[in-house]
Amino acid sequence: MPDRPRETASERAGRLYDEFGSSLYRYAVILLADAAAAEDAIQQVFAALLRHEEPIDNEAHYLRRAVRNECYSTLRTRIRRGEDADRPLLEPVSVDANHAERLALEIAIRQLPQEQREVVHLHVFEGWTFQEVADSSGDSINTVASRYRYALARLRDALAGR
Amino acid sequence: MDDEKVHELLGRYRPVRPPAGLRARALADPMRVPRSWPWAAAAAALLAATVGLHVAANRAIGRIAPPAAMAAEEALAAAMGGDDEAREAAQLIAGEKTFRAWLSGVDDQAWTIEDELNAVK
Repeated sequence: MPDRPRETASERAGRLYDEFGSSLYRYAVILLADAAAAEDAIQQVFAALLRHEEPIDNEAHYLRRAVRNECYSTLRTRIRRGEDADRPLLEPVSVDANHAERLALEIAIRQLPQEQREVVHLHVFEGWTFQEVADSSGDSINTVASRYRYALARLRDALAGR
Repeated sequence: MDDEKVHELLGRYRPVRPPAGLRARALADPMRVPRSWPWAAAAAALLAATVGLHVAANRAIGRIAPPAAMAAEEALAAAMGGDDEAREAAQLIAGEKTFRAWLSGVDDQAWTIEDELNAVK
């Protein structure tokens, strides 16, 4: 049992949002390739969390899994919205970044299959090893590594004209 | 462009941060409201609507249906001078009488007007 005093579901949800919300949102943005849908996914997950009174053993893992399930559910059923491309997926972290380059990269990322987007996100943006990605998704490490290679090849081809 | 260049390019960006309002929206579950309040609010609204409708109906009935009530209102207006101002005052008094009768559980609109007539005479 954790030493922490018993929290209400609302207190716990607030604490978990502060701790993991940003990371979960960024994950959902890339997995869905849609910032608005990512907001919806995060809201759904936290709405469920507010109704979940029981203790959660591994909160980070639980939330990551919940967001992943919500995103894949959305991807299975969604009707793409016209405003998808209006909201950026990426923001610069380097002075070398520029608007045209960002747009080209976003277009290329949007064209990747969702599984490849997920691997790129976890490996590149979050720094996970292939083993960690494999453990998270339930796939073999070879599958994850292959997805990553395919993703890089697609990105390379999509960006080749630049 | 080779893989290294793609890596470099990806390294210049990261996924966008969440919008500022997302925390509040994510933590504001519309289904999670204190359980007693929706029922209390609904009951209060229903009671207000019922009282309002009842009063309005009684006033309308008092003005149209029961001849005794209408006659009493007219008599009161006449006793107060019979002009527009007197009729308005008589309507107000009649409305109040109707409302008080309803509050006390007396639905009979044929309220007497002797007290009011005596008061203005």
